[in-house]
Amino acid sequence: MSMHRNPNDWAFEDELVDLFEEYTIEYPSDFEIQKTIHTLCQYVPKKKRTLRHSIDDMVQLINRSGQEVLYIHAFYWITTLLFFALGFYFTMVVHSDPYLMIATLSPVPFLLGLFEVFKGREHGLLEIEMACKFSVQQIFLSRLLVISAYHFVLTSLLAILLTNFDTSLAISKLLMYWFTPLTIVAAISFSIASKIRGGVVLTSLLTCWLIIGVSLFQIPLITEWFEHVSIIYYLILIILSVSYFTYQCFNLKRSVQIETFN
Amino acid sequence: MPTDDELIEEVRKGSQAAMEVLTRRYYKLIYAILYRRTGDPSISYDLTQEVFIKMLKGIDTYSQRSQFRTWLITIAINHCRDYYKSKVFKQGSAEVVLEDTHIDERQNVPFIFEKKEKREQVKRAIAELPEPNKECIILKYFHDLTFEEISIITSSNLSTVKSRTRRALDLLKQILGGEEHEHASKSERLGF
Repeated sequence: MSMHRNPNDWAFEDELVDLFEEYTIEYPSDFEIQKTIHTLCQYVPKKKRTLRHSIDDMVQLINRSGQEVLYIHAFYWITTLLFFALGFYFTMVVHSDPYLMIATLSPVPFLLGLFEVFKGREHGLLEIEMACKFSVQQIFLSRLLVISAYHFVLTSLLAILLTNFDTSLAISKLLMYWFTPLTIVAAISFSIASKIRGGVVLTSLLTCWLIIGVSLFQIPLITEWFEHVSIIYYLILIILSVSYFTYQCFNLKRSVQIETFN
Repeated sequence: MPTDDELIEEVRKGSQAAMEVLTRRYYKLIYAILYRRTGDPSISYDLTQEVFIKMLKGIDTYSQRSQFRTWLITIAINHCRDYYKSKVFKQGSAEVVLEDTHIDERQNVPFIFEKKEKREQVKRAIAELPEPNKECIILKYFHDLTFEEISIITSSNLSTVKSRTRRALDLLKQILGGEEHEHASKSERLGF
């Protein structure tokens, strides 16, 4: 094209190209881009759901969780372990009530784990993670699976240790004291943490639980009520909390709920 | 990092996650092209969304013989042409806004004015170009596409694309004061 042009044309073209660089663009915010992506979701071809797809999804989630283990900070593993060691120590040495101890401690690993689940979001690292094939929501879900599994292992370990050291403990009662606060706190805190950004929210949730948990179980009237209330109430509370938590996980999977970017 | 073709395969299977990654990968490119064509942030935002909707609706027709990027830009260029032919545009409800603000407050005031002035100058000059020439300039100089790619995207032959680009440069030369520049260079050549 420019074979027959004189040097002045070249110079002017260079000047033009330099001038073009002044024509900068202000792009839409990440929130606006996210809004577009949300609108686009309905145009993605519909996935034909079969049992095989569901199994594939589950396997993929487990594989991803395996990879996520490597990215979870050592601080989380150690702190959670320390909390449980303290719980065991207080029950065995200081002779605190083992039921109340497990009730107070059971939501702690989950609350600590929420820091890890939403870690990228708080530190702006999610854009890097977005370069991979998985969505932010899938990454959150895999981390959630990791912390839930770790939580399950630790609490089971504590329950086994307590029942071994104190044979008078009723395992069914221990399970009730374990599951009820855990499911309620998990449902409420996950709902709050997925809607409101910021490490302060997570710290506040953890502090609130420790204050509320410890204070509540110091009041004899309340502990007596917990002792005598019918098991049906526990079960209703557990079912309601688990349902709400599952509903939120589905929402997360559909990427409709979380405000991911600035 | 997954390739475009891998992501497209996932989108075809119904993966919203793959759609999100693919959209984020090309969002700014498409927005920039449309913005430079229309000069209006809000129209460009809407058009960008519509381009991605068209992309998803036609994802089954995409063949790996061409690059996805080229295919997507083709959709954007055609969609923009449709927009200019549309009633919405013709009724004048979507007037081009040339005076949008784009100021970085961290910079000092004279510098901001100078930058803004230059930016507006370029923006106005490009807006004055005829549509086919404008397309060529935007794709060639703002998005580094080759003439071959532009000819595929605009469904024109290679020589047409080259001559349109040449013509656009000449017009820009005139609009942006190139006449003076040319006059000065002629004077130099003639020994004045």
